[in-house]
This record gives sequence, structure tokens and C-alpha cells, in this order.
Amino acid sequence: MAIITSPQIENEIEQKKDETDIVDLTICYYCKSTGLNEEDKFCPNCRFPQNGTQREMKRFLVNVANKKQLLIDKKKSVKKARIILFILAGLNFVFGIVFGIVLNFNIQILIGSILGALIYFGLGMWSRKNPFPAILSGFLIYVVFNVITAIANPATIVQGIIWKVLIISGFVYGYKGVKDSEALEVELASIKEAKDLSPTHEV
Amino acid sequence: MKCENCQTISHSQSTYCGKCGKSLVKEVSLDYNKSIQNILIFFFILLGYIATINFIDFENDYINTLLIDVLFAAIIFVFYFIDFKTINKLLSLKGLKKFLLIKILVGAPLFAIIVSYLAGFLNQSIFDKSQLRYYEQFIDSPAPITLSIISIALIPAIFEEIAFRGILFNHLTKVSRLKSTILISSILFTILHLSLLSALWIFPIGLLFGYFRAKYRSLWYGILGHFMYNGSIVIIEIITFK
Repeated sequence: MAIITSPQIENEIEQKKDETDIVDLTICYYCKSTGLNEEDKFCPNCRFPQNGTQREMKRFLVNVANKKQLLIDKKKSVKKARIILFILAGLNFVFGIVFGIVLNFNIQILIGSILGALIYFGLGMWSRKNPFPAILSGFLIYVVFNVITAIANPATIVQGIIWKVLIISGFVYGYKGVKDSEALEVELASIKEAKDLSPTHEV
Repeated sequence: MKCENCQTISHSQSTYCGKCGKSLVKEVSLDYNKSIQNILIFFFILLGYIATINFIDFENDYINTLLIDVLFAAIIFVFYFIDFKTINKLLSLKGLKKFLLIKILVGAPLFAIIVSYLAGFLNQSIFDKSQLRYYEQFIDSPAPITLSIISIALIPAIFEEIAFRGILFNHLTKVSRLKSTILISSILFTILHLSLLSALWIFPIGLLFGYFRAKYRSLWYGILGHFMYNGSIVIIEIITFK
């Protein structure tokens, strides 16, 4: 799917605002679906208020534009969650090298951290192809790692609490963003796609 | 297509009612939000249970071990009853593949022997400590072999399979593809064992049982494999116990 940028959306609204002069009520002004019932208020494909007021039409256009902007925001939150996965991979790797080799040779810390780094890195890569399961797994693994650390040393619960909250929020917004953007993409795609809704084309 | 709001009949390809504008298709977002919520509730309850039993310094005896098992079974029972119709279908004995069951019956103990040797080797060579022996907790009990088999093999086989390949798997299939569901359920199955070293064999086991669950829509292959694997570990411990 092509990336939609904010200026593009604004231009689209501006164009549509000046063009809402509907001549043929059987063709949807917005999605160009055909075979619409002239008495219907809304287009059955995109919900454009063909027989509505100018205000309602503009509200529809703004609503669609908002959804496009929301899609951009949701995709950004998915990207942020992916970045968090790579950051955690990097931090685990550095932690393993510093505390497992440089400061004091500790094979358990080294293996644990390198394994953690590999898991997060793998999830980060997986999130490019399949973001929802990768981000959800990353979130739950992060929580479990913190619980394991807290069981061993309860004082760690409050250590770096702000970072922990930020990371968890990033993950939550990330996996929710994947699902929300999937739903928005389906909705926006159906709005764009023109259909023949005449009774003779009944499936 | 009939609008639930104004009863107007619309074209079969309509997404909205032309008269009132109400959506004619089910809202997907509400469904997946509920499913994600269910996954998280179940996961955090399990994590809370595991964290509590690890955090509290219980005396490592057979009574406490059995009580912990009963508590785990009770938690899974609650979730099982919430979704018992779907889980019951997965526990049906109809159409089970006998040849596959025999393969699991033979393969699981062989895998347990390899894992037992590998775990002992890795624990000694890398972590410089002896392997954890589950059987030791039951030595003072009235029936050490029977109770250790029940606690280590039978209860985890039934309830962990219902938990991960049943309840969790069902919720996950509502929000992700089948392959991803197998992977996530295996990841969660692995991390909730809270053991870094064991992840090396728990993860592939989880993948295999997840695959059986997805392909044959039955929990019995996982239950049998889980029971045979854990049971074999107990038998190896009993045989090698000094």
C-alpha cells in the first residue's frame, strides 16, 4: 500500500470541498459506485451522504481524512514497537558483553543476555513480515524477563520504572496499532473501490 | 441483506444501509480487542500464579508440590468451564490416528533420554551445577513413584495442554494466522517455564504439539506426548537416583 502523507490528505479535502456538486444520484460522488437508489441518503458502499446536506458531505470527507491520518499514526506506533525490539536486542547484547566478559567473566549472564538479544532481534525481524505476533510476543517476553528478575531481586521492580512503563506502552500501542491499521486499511480500501450496486448485478 | 436498524433490504455487496447509514458488516475491531483482552487475562493469571509460587519460599516437599499442582489445575478448570464447548471438541476421542499415537508413544521417551543427557551435560559444563531432580521431592511420600508420575507427568500433560494448546490457542486463532498462533503459543509455553536452559527443548516441543493441535484439532497427541516425555524424565531420575 502506498504511504499517504498529511499534505496529500489536506489537498484531497480541499479538492473535494469545491467539487461537491452532485448531478447523477445513481453514481456515488465519492467512490464512483454505480446503481445507487436515488432515494437513498447514503452510498451503500462508502457511506457518502449523497442525499445529505453539504455539511454532512464535508463531515464525511473530513472523517475519511481523519481515518487516513489515524492509519498513518497507527503505522508509526507499529514502527516504534519494532524499534523497541531492536533497542532491547542491542541493550541485551551490550549488557552481556559488559557484565559477562569485560567486567567479570560470567557465563550465565553472557549466555542469558546473548540469548535475550537474539530473541528480541529475531522478533524485530519477524515484525517486518508479521508484526502482530512478533510485537505481542516481544511484549510478553519483556514482562516475563522483568518478573524473573524481580523474583531474583525484588528491588529491580522499581529500577528504571519510567523506562519500563515507556517500553510496555510502546509494545501495547504497537500490537493494538497493527490490528487497528489492518481494520482501517480494509475500511479505506472498501471506500475507494467502486462497486456496481444495481439490482441486476445482485450476487 | 437486511439492515438490523431500519429493516431496509440492501444489495448483497453493500457495506452500509443506504437509508440509515448503519454498517451491515460486523465490526472486526471489537472482536479482536476482546480476544486480545482474553489472551492477556489468561497469560497474566498464569504468570501471577508462577511468579507467586517461585517468589514464596515454600518448603520443597511433596505436600506443597501437590498443593501447587491442584491450584494450577483449579485455575485451568475455571478457564476450561468458560470455554468448555470448544475445549470439549478438542478432547474428543473420535478419529484419533493410532499410528501417530504409537509414534508419539515411542518418540517422546527417546527425546526425553536425549534431553536428559543434554540437560545434565549443559548444567555441569556451563552452569557448573547438578541438574534439578524433581523426583527427590517425593521420596518421603507414601507412594513416591505414583505421586511423582501424577505430579510431574499427568497433571502438567493434561492441564498445560488444555491451557496452551486449548484455551490460549483458541483465543490466538481469533487474532492471528495459524502459523503465528503455533509460534506464539510455543513462545508463551516456553517463557512461562521460567527456565533459560529448558527453552532449548521446550520451544520445539511446543511447536510440535501446536502443530498437532492445528492439524488434527485434538489435544490428545499433545497430552500423550507431554505425559510420555515428562513421565520418561521421572523414570530416568528414578533409575539414576542414588
